[in-house]
Amino acid sequence: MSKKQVLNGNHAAAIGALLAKPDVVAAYPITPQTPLVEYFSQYVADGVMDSTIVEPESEHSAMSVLTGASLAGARTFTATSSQGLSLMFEPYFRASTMRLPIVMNIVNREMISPQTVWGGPQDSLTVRDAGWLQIYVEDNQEILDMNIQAFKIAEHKDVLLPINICYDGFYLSHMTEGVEVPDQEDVANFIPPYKPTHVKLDPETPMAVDPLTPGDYLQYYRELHMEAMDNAKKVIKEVNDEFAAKFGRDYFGLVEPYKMEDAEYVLVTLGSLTGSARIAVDLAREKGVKVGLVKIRCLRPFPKDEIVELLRDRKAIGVIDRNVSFGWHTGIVYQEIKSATSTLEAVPTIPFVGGLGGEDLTTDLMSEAIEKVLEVADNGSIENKAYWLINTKGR
Amino acid sequence: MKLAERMSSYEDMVGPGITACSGCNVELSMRTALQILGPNTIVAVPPGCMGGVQSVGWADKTGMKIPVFFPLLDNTASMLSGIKKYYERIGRDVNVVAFAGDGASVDAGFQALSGAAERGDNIIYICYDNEGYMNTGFQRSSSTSLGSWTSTTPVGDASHGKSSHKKDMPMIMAMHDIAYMATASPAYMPDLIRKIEKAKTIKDGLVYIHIYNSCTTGWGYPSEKSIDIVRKGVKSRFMPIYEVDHGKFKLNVDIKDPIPLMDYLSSMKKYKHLSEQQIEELQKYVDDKWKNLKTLCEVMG
Amino acid sequence: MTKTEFICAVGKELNIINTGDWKMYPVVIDQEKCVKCSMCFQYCPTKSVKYVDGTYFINPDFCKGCGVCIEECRSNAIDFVKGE
Repeated sequence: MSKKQVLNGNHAAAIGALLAKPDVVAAYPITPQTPLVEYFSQYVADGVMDSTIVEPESEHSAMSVLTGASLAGARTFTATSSQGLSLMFEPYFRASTMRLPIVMNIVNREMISPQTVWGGPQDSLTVRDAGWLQIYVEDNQEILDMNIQAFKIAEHKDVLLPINICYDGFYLSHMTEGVEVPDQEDVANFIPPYKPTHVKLDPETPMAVDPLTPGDYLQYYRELHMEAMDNAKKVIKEVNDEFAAKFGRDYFGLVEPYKMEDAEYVLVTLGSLTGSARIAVDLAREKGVKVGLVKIRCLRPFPKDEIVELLRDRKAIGVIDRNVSFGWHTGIVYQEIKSATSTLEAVPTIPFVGGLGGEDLTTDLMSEAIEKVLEVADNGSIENKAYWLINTKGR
Repeated sequence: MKLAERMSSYEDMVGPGITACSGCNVELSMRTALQILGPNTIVAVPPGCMGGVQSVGWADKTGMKIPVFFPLLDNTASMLSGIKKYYERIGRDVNVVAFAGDGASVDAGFQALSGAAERGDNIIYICYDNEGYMNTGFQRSSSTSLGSWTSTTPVGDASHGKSSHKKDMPMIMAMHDIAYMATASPAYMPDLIRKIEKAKTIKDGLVYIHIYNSCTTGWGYPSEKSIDIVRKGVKSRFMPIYEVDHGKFKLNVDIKDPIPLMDYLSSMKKYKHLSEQQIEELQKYVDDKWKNLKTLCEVMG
Repeated sequence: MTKTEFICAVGKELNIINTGDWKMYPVVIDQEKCVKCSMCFQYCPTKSVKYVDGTYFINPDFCKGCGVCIEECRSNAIDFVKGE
């Protein structure tokens, strides 16, 4: 029987992973991910979890310990944030190119400089091309549920890639919500055991892992890696549907459309800011504005076909980015959307940027964004440059 | 059983041909160590000479008869910790081993190694110390000795080779209070073999073995002198052979009557420019280190 | 693009590099002079010195001809075979 608990995001992630029973966990504490590591340590101390915990001396080693454990055949789990993620970039890239289905939560936090500890997905978005699957979630229930689904997706024989569950630091990590916690046995039945053969360090089946590899072989492995990314789209949807049937919660797979059936205007969102955007959409709908919302859940692989279908024949689009792409003078998701919709007849698309460094993206700001989208749909003029959503109240 | 019979009973786990330089005593050390460790072994060979000479393999072929992999330059010990922890979890006793150069151990990989040592992870970490980044043409590492020519500490009017002493890695590892620390030399083969055999029996913590190697091409001496050079290194007290078994220090090769340090220094090109002052500094370093080691062996033996 | 049976960079078949043809001249042990000190056996970097039934001999297949065995032999029983 499942039970309802009041959980913060880190707690939800810890319980999700606990239910998935990883063999080896290695994590180094960093704000705002720290409580997640503490929950795990306490589970082991209390004897409710029998995972092997390794306490590494850095994030670089956390990912390296898991790389080794995964190569030995272990189911593995970790979590990090911002500077920790950038410190582990070297083994991070390698985990995906070695095809190791490690599950790692990224509790999104801004990148330094300036010195900051607050939320924003600049960290994980910056490493979006490192070959990992990346799922961005909106609330604590989704954090828990995706930590269960993550193992099943990553370890699938047609995927075999590591996966990030990304959730906003503080907004989700430290905020409590009611969360339905599934029964351990149901989760055990949902996730099959991990028995790797594609890459394994075992004296009973000796093989070399990563011999010196010339480019003609490397290109073949890259091609297979990209195919696995494509396969993951199907697998994520299948696992989503299976999860929905078994546990009663549907996340719509790669993207979640909201009030899109008749929408003339669209906001595209990622992560927890979707919440205030939904309310703004509801408020605009009350005034008769036909606006809808597309929440991108899966950034890698990028759901380009779904995006094309959802954004076809709309009057104007606004992409809300809580991050920047230096050199483009926009956010990162905006660039992804522009690439995906390049086959469509040009629709005015506005690159909104705001909420950096833990700033609130309020319902008012989302309403402002919708107004701007309407304005651009009318006059058609658009500057291909960040439109800042700045919270001026109380300043 | 005599040494030749014993060693002949062990299979060579490394592919018969690897592209190490002719006369390389690191190849000798690696083959010998893995011969003793045997088939129930997983070995990490990070970037460095032994990785470069295709001991991990080439393209879709392997370089060894046992599981072998390239860790990153700086995460060898951490990857091994992960492997070992999983095998311990499933109740299988497997030798989890690093064969890593000084760059991967004393420089970039030091933090990971220190972490594994502090946690007491039961891995066997063998460092082959040839005093620099030899695979890429001999750049200095923190294991390069004072005065040594390297391509990044060249000799010119304003520079006379490396300006600082080498990092005393064996002592640093001993001070981590690991289960077993030993230095070894390919010139003292029965001692080296005994230490690898001993490492195999340690189950209560980290084993660190520091092999004082040399490099024919980088250091500049003829290939046939590979053993002679490191023997001189030991006999001049430059490469002290000792072990620290669960905190107990023991000098395994006591050099009561050392050969002149100059006999060692003058047998290769990398020191040929040394000034009197540099030679004096090196002699003082060797004397001080030896004295400290003797004291530790007496007090903590 | 070279296809393999693997989905990532692994290798199972042993890679053999013929280092035997690096040497200028073959190296042999004069069994008459050999005092069985085992130095050649201990120090050969490529493990080309074999010990069978009390006798040491050099397998030329992968011997690189470095000369360590010649240098270390206590009875000068090993040398390159030049000429012919």
